[in-house]
Amino acid sequence: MKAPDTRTDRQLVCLIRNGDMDAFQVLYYRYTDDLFRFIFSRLGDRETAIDYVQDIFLQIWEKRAALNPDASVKAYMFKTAHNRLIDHFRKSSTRKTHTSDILPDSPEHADNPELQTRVKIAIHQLPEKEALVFHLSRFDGFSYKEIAQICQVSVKTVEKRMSNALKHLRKHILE
Amino acid sequence: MKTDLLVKHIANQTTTRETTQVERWCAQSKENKTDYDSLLQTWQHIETPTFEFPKEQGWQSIAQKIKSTESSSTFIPERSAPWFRFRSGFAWAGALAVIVLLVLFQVVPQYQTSTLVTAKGEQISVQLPDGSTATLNAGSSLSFPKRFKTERRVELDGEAFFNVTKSSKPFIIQTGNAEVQVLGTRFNVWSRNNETRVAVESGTVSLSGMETDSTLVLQAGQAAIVENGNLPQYKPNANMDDYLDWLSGSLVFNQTALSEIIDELERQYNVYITTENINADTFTVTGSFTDMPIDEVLDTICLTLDLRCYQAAGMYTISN
Repeated sequence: MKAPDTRTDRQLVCLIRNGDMDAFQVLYYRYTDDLFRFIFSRLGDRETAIDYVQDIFLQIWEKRAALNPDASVKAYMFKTAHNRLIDHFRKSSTRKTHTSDILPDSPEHADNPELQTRVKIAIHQLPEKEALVFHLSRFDGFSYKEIAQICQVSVKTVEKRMSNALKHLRKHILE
Repeated sequence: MKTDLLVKHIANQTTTRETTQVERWCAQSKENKTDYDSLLQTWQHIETPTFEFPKEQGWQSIAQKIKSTESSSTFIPERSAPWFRFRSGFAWAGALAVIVLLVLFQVVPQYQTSTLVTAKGEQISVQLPDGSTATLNAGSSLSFPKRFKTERRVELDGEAFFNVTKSSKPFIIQTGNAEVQVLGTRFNVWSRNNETRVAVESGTVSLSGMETDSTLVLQAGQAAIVENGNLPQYKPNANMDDYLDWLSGSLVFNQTALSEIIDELERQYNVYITTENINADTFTVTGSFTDMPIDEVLDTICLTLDLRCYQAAGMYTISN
């Protein structure tokens, strides 16, 4: 286990730009779980998701000189992941199908299996575009502005999709 | 009220004004409040799922791939591309700034010294011959030999954060009036106007003034100062963030004299600032600024100190 590193992403990016492998490793340990969750939950294929995460990090290293310390490296990685997924779906005709299986049981709702099922179904039925925006906000803590950059849409569209998503989820979870 | 705004509030994305708007709307009627609460409840019902990525394995594979493609990774001083901390403040001068803010990187023959100089408004990280790294703040210079022999000695004028690799060879930073010695650790050195300040993030650092034999040992979380080559002294209750926040783009002042602030702003924003009818040494400011345009920074400072600030002839002037 690596001890948690307190350096900010910005500091790490500055070091990575200069070829600091140690800083790169810290970045890797910091974000692989998040990236994996993001890719896996849209793809439903564990092996491919792992490959994509690895590819994204190798790509960052290869293009490290072009990293911008003033921009969020986390948003940059998610944007790369998002583009990779679009490519993936363009090539193969499979869409995400098993979101409800992908979401693990949440310990918070362990004593309420009925609610747990409703939550899973509600998320599963969310249209892809809304699910994407919702994930990035709820699970990954991105700002609307960052989500807009990752998905290459306007902030207004993000707002719209977020409110549609939450209205949809409310309907299926609370009613 | 539009659901968009309520959701925006729940996602913690509203501005202060919008927050007030939402709060007022909720207070207006019971139905409104229930509507908001049901959205919030939905949001909270959806927990963040956790996935464990096989990191150990994954990293080993990444490291191997990198090493196989970069078989000979010797130290080659690169001319780093300049980049700017305060993007918005520089937007208008983007193209000009690229030309003006040049890195002066002199690479001299072997066994001689390389000097890295950062221009105003510029920060640069550099890897030293032993694998240690230094991040230079704006308007600073760092000299180091192309190869370290018995000791790892570098010279610093300005400010830098060091991440020193562990080695039996001592790592020594020479400033104008002091010497900082370590074996391997992470720490910040500030050295300007014949004053040296050291703050240690991890490890142990020893600090001595140029004109004394006395040495001070600093542990993680401690800071000390050397003035005019005199005895080094601990800074009681030092807050590491005050010393290290510049690495993440913040300017932090803690009872800092206005004169020193002006120097720092000139370095960070590449501007000229003068004073009129006031003694800048007698005012102090406490506060921090992150990614704020220079006009706003100066306005905030002047507002706090009850001073005036105007811009004329390409220069800012602070007066009473």
